[in-house]
Amino acid sequence: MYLDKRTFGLISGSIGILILTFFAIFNWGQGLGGTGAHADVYDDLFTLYWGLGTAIGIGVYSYFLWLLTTSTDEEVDEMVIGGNPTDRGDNKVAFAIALIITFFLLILSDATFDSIDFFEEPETNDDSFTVFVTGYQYYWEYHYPNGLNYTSSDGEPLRIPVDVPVVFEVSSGDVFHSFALPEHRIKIDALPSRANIGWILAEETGEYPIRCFELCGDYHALMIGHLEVMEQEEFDSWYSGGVSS
Amino acid sequence: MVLRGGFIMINNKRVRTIVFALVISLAATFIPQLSAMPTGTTGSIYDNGCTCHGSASEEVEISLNGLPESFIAGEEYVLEVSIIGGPEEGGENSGGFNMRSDIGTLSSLDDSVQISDGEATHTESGNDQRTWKIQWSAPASDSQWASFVVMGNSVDGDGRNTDDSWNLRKFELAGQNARSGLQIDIDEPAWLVIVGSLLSIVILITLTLWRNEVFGMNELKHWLTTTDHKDIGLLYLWASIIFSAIGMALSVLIRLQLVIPDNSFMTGGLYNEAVTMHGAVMVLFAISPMAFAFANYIVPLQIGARDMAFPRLNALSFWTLVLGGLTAASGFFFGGAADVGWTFYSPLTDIEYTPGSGVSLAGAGLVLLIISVTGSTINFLVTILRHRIPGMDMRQMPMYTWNILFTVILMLVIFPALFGAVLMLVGDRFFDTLFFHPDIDGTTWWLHIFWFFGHPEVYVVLLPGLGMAMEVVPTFVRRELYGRNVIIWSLAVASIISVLVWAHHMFITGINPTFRKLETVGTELVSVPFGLIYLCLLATFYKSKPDFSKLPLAFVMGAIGIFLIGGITGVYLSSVAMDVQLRGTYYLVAHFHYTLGSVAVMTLGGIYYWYPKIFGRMLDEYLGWWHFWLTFIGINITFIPLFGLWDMPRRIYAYQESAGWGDQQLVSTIGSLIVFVAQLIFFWNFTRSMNKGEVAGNDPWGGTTFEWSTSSPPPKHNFEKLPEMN
Repeated sequence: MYLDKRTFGLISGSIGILILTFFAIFNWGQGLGGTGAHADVYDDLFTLYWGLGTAIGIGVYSYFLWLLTTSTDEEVDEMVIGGNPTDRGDNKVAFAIALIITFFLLILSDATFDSIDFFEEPETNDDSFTVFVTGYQYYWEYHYPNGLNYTSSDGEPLRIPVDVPVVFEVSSGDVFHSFALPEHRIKIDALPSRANIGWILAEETGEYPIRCFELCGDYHALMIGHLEVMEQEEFDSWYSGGVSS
Repeated sequence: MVLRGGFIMINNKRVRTIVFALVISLAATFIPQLSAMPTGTTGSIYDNGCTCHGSASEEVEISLNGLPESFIAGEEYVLEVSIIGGPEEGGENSGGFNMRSDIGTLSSLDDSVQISDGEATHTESGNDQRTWKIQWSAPASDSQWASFVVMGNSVDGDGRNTDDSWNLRKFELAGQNARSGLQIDIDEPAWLVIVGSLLSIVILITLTLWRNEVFGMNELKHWLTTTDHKDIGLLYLWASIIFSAIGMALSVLIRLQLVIPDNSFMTGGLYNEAVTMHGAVMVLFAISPMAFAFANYIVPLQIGARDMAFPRLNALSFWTLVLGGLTAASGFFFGGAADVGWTFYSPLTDIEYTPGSGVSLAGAGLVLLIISVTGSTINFLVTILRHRIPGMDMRQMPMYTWNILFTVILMLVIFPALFGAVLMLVGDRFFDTLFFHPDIDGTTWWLHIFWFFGHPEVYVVLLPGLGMAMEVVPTFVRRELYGRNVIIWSLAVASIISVLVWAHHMFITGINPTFRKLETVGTELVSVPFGLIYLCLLATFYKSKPDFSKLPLAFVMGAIGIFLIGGITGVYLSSVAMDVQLRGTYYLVAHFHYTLGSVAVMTLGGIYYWYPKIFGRMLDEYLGWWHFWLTFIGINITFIPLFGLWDMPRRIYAYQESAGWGDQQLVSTIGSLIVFVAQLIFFWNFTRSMNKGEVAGNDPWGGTTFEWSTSSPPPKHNFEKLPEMN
């Protein structure tokens, strides 16, 4: 076995990086911390991807460590200038590996398709309604079905009731924005030419940030709104009276 | 000499044609800007009884009071139009006015002013006065200029129009974030850093070259007119080092801005410029030219050619590239560089939202880059396909040459798409051609064309680096590359897939769901050929005799280590459902810096590998190991914390402390400073070893390709005696 200090350092370093990445992705042990119906689906998918990814990563690094244990002190191939390159290896092995990778990808694709269908097709009920959201430099405008209409520029939050699916129809009044509720795992691109549809089923009351995720100009960073998830009665009184409690 | 010969060949008729064409194109550029001032009075309001007749006269003076120094988005301002001069007041009427503004909205404050078709004018009762008050609401964006055209009419009130006289005046008002003309805001510390670092880079490199070579007029003339592929390769190398240093300096600025929450080191506008130019310079003007530097130097040597197929085209390509890069970066000194992200998403690039010259200059720079790249592409294709020495067929070509072949084929396919897109963008900005107008969904249209170019561009950047790794690994483990044919086929398959999966950059823009699922599978399939290439590269170590004390191998192994993380985290992004959350976040930033960072480290390995061939001397090992460990550790410290910021939007210039992103950003900034210091060590090593390094000899590493059969550096025509295949 031929393994010097530097190589060992490099490979164990790489494995260390993989483990560090794991903790980084899971917010240093604090978990993913999502809320709402989308987050349940999304966080499962994320964990599946990350589990498979880490397993494959550690597998590949271990394979590499094993390869290094086979090193010898003899030159196996004749290495001369202008030597005619020979093709080492076996096409059957290559096909087998290609099939194995494809198999893993199919598992992931299947899970992906289930999730995206859930994200894209609103599961509405009788209480559901649609809020039209329009992005502007650098605020959001909300338009409720009863004609209620205001913007986020004066700090007013977007209000929705808890446990009711609400549909968002998102577009833009000027440039390309992206309407996102990171903690609910929802992101809908706001294009000036077309409305995109998404939905939310909030399961906990509280206030959450709304952020723009597409560079939209000098104050992109300040394009922050708020989502306020309210109890149904509270929402109803605000919605009918236009007064927030 | 060649240059002069070239000019003599142009006879008078051709000179006339060229001059004529130049005049026409100059005229075409300038005429639209000299938009005619309105001298007459047209428009619906004049149907309402206003009698702005009489003659235009200098006697009538128009003023507009109440204009702020600069306007703020969404604010309301009360403006006062007043006219003096012209005929004496008297009779029943004394004056009238008309005012329009190109942006914002005008509204009436009292019954003396009415609004018609967006223009303000007096009413019947407003006819008796010579000052009027109008309210102007500023538009939602204040990064632009507003212009007001005011016409005033002095009336003598005798009921006839003949003695009345009127005048017209134009007022310009800047938004508080609008920029214009040549200006450097030295109040902002970041500006000093930008200007200082650019200047010091240029001075440092000039001094280095001056010290290392006897540099006089003859040498200058030689470097400006050379057509030798080795000289041009060196020029590409220096140009790429300069652009890398600029890109690197910008990245440090970005990191310094984000080091603490609510930092005010840079403004949003300047930060966006830094982000945009960091991306554009690094991808298009630093990593790619570095690949071309080695491709120029090494490929003809590897295939036993005396030079490139078209040496003068080669020189043209280089100088156009330099001009392109400088044009794009010059925006910093002309009112602000492009600040829309290197992806140039429409409609932010529209003249309405980014009125400065930055985006236009970047567009011009890109056009020059594309001309350069197209020339190089043709050159490399013909060189590789037609100029190999007899006895070397395609399958025997060295792997680096194979990778360059796939790179240039990809470039030939994708850059025309960018060319079209940029020309349409420039058309939109200067001639209102409306290619990307939102009404015809120009936003989506831009995304499609740009990413048809943009996605394969990533592979264009990656393949030369992989090629270097495929040369370095067999040389230092003393075994031939494992699965050579599998690798070549995988490269071909990866190239084809890469031009078919652009839509994964637009997963949540509302394109067809079935199409997105196809693109998800397609993108995931990219990992099959690259997985095979990766495993083949590793399998080369099987029963081998690796020498880990050599720096090129260390760099390539470091790159292999971090490429795996970049690759695996990339699979997450290929999923349309995962992309909903990860799109536009720091997770994405971490992913592509892991892949491109690994390419950069592979390229460093290539530099350590071929430096002895190019300069005839070895790089210093002690400094080299410092460079390696600091780079490897620094890159990981910089980007690992960013994987955890998968709820933080990218390209934001400030974040609140309550968001809880401060720790990761701080660690990341420390990492980037480590990488920066490592590159300074490298630069010192690079320039110092040109004179003081150990003499290398023809083949210091025991390489097996033809460049190692000739002297270091190679003679003018590459080989004293042409090498032969065994």
